[in-house]
Amino acid sequence: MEPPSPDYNGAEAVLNLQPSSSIPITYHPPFGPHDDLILLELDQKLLRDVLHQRVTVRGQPEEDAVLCTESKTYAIKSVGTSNSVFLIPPSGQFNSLESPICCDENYHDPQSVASVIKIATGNMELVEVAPKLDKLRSLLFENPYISEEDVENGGTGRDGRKEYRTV
Amino acid sequence: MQIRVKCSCGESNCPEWAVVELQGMVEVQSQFQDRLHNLHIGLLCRPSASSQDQTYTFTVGYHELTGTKQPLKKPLLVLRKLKPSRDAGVELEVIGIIRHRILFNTRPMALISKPQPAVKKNKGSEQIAAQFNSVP
Repeated sequence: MEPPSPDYNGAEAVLNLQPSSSIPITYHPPFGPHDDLILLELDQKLLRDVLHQRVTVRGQPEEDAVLCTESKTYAIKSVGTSNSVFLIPPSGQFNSLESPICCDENYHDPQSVASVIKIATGNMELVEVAPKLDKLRSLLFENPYISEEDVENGGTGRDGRKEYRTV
Repeated sequence: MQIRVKCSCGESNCPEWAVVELQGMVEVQSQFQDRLHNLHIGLLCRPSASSQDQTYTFTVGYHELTGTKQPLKKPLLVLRKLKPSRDAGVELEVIGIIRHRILFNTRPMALISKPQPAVKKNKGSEQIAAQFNSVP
């Protein structure tokens, strides 16, 4: 493990906090509800699929969304927490457009601190479910361009997915 | 409808985020409500001199919390919802990963007098002291 440099800030500073040392935690300049930030809990195998861009989220607006890998379907559950979960991004992400507002003792120079971007109210969890093959079948039957071989293959596989995308 | 989950960082370069988790809420004093940005929340401290010891303290105002850093059984990915253009659909992008959290799940201890930091003082602990003096 390489020794962390003393001028770390952001998540690196928290994760590499050395024994007998401390770091101030502050609100990030763009701190806010940030509803566009979502936490997704994954096991190691799925993690690899996501990081290699092998998953998609699917569903009609009125349905519950599912997450699909190449071979499995997962229901997406939203799990809330009553704890305060302070999210601290690495330095460099969410670079501030604003300069520090004022310099009295309640505020910090953003260079020497770890800043919280958002307090998460929960996260998403995945539960493996059976794929909605009925739906796939009905979607495939709606489409006049499907060749007979595809229907005989049970409507799964690459062609099935391609049709789904056009809906 | 299909939403692609994009990841530009790859498996080895996904930036790791930090999480500090505590029970209950941190309330902001009313005079700071409308100017949170860069506002001091508390001081995170690793008081032990041992590198094995994963005990942390978090001092918020007059309260000191004690907690530990623990690896998550399952990591959390930080996704951001994107809408690249008006015609394009929504996309999700992986912007970080959370593998550890520093969890403070005990009741806060009230600090009655000015804290006597057991650790070498740095800029941060002076700031806390300053905040203590300023609170009526």
